[in-house]
Amino acid sequence: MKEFKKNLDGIIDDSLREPPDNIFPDDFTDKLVKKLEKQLAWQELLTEFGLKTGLVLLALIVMGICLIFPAKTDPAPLIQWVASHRLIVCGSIGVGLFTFVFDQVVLKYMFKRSRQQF
Amino acid sequence: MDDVALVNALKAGNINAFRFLVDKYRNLVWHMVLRMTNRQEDAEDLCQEVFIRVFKQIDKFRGDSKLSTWIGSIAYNACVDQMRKNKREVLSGADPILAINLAQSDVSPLLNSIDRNTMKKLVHRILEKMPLQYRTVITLFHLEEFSYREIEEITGMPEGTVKSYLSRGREIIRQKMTELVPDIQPVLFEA
Repeated sequence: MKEFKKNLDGIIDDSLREPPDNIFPDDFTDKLVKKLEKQLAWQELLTEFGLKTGLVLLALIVMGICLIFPAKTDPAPLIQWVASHRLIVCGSIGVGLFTFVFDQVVLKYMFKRSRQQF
Repeated sequence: MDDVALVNALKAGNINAFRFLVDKYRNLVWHMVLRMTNRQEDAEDLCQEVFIRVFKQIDKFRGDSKLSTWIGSIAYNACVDQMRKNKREVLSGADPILAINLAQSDVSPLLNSIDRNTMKKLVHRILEKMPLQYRTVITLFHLEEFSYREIEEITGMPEGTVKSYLSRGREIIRQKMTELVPDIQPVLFEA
């Protein structure tokens, strides 16, 4: 009985030390590195875009504050004008944002991709 | 490249260091993911996910444990998250013997010719059907040769529980093999 158990345990041990049969893909590392490079490229570009957009907005806010407060200008007519021309204002902002995103993110990503081929 | 230099290079964002890391530890991650999920089709994507998490979280590695242990814990958590997302079995308290539902079709091709090699394949089939915690602990101990303490760090299971799963797991495999292969004796005593 002891011999039986010892031999069976031997087979079990040998078997558990063997890896599963499923084959590991040969190009795994290459595919993974390319995937990571893509993710890092997007991350870098979106961070850059976020920073630039933030700077632009900050500059506009500071400019607006400098224009309105010292001269004690009443902002109500301006707000009324924006409200009555909201389609033009939103459209212009949309077009500007789209151009900015396309230039700063999409085009840059495409150039990076063609250089690094990921 | 030793692990300290490798970690420093990864923290600096070195892609070649990442390539080196993947080549060094891919077997560990592959074996864990395959054994835990039992699904070849998901395994490659999940392995990629594990390594990307390792790269992004490398700043959190303090060097308190071995790099392989830390990577193992990321792989373990990624597998558990994936299985929860797919609503598949996670850690269950079910009796493992009842959980092993080996259909005759799973094993009859193996039983046509019983030798040591087919016995080994049978052990693998039984292991595939065991509950997750048993498969995990057995793989980490026997295949990846982690210590009890390291398995505790990877899985969060106390050392005593790990030892208990290993011992019970072996008992279950023994029992199932003698059930499935009534004529097991000649094979065990062959030269």
